Amino acid sequence: MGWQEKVLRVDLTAGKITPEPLNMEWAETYIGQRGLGTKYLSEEMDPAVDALSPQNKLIFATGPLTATGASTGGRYSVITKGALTNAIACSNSGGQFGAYLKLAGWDMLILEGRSPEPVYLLVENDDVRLLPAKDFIWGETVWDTEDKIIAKHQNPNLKIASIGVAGESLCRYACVMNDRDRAAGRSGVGAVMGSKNLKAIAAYGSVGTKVANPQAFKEANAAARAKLDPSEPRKRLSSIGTHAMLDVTNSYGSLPTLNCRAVQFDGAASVNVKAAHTPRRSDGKANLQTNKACFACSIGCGRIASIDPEHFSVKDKPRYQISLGGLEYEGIYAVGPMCGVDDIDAATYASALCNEHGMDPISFGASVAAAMELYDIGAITKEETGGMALEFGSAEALVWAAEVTGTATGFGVDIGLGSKRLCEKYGHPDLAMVVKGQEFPGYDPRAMQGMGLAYATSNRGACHLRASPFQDDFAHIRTEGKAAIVKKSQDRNAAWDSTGVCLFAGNAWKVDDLVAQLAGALPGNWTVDGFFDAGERIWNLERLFNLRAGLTKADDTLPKRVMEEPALSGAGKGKVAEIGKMLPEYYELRGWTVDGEPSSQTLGRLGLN
Amino acid sequence: MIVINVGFQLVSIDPSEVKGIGRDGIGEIPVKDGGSLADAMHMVGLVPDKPFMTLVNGDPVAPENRDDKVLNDGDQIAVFPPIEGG
Ligand code: SF4
Repeated sequence: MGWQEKVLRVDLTAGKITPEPLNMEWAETYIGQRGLGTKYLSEEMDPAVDALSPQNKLIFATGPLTATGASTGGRYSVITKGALTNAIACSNSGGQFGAYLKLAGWDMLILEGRSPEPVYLLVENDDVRLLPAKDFIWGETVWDTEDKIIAKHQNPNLKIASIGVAGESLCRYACVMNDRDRAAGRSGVGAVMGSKNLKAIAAYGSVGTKVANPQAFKEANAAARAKLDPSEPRKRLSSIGTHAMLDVTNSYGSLPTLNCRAVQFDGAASVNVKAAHTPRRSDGKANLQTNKACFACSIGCGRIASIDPEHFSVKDKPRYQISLGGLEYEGIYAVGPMCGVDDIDAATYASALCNEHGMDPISFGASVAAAMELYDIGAITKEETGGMALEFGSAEALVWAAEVTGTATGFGVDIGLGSKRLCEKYGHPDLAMVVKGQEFPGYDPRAMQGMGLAYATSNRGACHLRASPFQDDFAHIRTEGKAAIVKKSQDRNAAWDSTGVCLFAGNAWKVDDLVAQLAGALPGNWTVDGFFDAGERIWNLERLFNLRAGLTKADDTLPKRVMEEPALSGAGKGKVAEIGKMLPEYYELRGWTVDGEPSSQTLGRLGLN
Repeated sequence: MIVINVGFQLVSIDPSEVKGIGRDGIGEIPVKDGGSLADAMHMVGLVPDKPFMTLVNGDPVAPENRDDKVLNDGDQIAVFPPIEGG
């Protein structure tokens, strides 16, 4: 019935593994994955604890539709207190791992404490073991970790979530990687895993899943699939991927460039989709090789690429002269335009190293951009970098930064602090393009006012997936009406992220299509209104977590640069992000006080008091 | 009939699906004097009420304003699909 009704609790300090029943009452109220994981975390942990202390918990949560056969239904989320943000962190990933965890019979893993020695967790159906990682995979890259675990256990069907050296060495934006190139990417969830001395989780499952009403589920699933498969968004995501957004934001004037000094990038044509499709001189191949899909997904927005074997970054390195995870929009924006780099091979190499070492490419690229600006104004010199000229536009500097940050070497340790801590360390905190410590994705809030509000109010720091103001932002540069759009889409996305299905299916589906599948998979009465109510409840629960962690209204803001320095070009030329005009209305729509705290009436309405 | 010429650029839209636009997604099309953005989109076969996003000379024109947006000779139109980030 959607659920296995089983949670695996792992006390890493004591090395103890305990199965327990899933709290079904909470599952009804918080759906699963993001919502349910946040409920467990909020109930079990004081949000004020240090994110890197043993007191923090790390939850891997699937959704009720994960591995049921629902289209794109292979998702899981990692929920914890973020090492980058000190706020609630919830990072969602696809690939195969989440589905296999569920197929092994587990809805959720709760990891507590800190192992005295590095370990990994092996989950083969009911057979669950903590095994030593030292002298085996500790210190290894994500790719080698996966290969070694599979070889040791002689099971090519094991699906693995792991951290690289970045996570082990507590890089603030380390991710949890799975299936080589999929990531629970944001907010530093990989650093929390590293702080627990947990290198990897390997899952294989053959238990299967059940749904509550097989006939209703089958019909809803078939109808949703019939809508998704021939749809334009599916075709577009499959053929040109999210990478296509680069030409859109560049022509609109909302492409963050040179650490947000500019909003359009002169070198865009060298790093856009067309560049990725164009055969190169050396071997006649294009950067983009093919696409790749996650579990049960007919979209396949993932990119598989190859780097020019003649390029300086890989010339004598056969390891990287293969097909590897390619450029997606948020990654290429960060390692390309944000750093002023117009070299598609250098960008692909830097992205590949983010996968190999387990770093969020958005935060990595934006942190390099911040470091480049610090270098540009003389706050960082070659003395700090060890001789590297960290100049905007330098492909060599980008490649070097990816290598030293991924391996936590020299100045790479500073880049691994993230933009906020890096800019504070070198005396220019205003140069960090962050909200709540998390770096911007690829949308400048001066031309996209709704996205500015979405960044400022996102519970996990600057994020493009917590709300969907895109269509209105690309049609109207104004502040009116944005609060309602942001609030409603935040609630929708919070509920959607709790189901086990990918947000991208929502480009073709309406909420009804997803609710019909939930209604087939689960007992109880599932309605569109109830779905939005659950989303609002989850949003408020995350907000309460953050307030208890010590965040305040003052954290619902944007960097000074985008609020005070007008955009130089594009549709938003002359505009600044006007967060002060939108925030009071947003709080009111949320039923929060002027200080941004949910009122007792709101808490009562949502059943949160 | 007096005719004006406007520039047309497709951003992240397959040009083979659009009439009169080159393979690079860029073209120039004639529009009757006083014609609107919606007229120009019709001419190339883009259905104006589909949720495309449009810019004229770099300024956004919302879907509901396309009928009223009168074009001038030399205007530059850009059209892109309603993609969301990820
Ligand atoms: S749309 Fe893309 S990210 Fe979503 S499940 Fe499919 S391949 Fe994975």
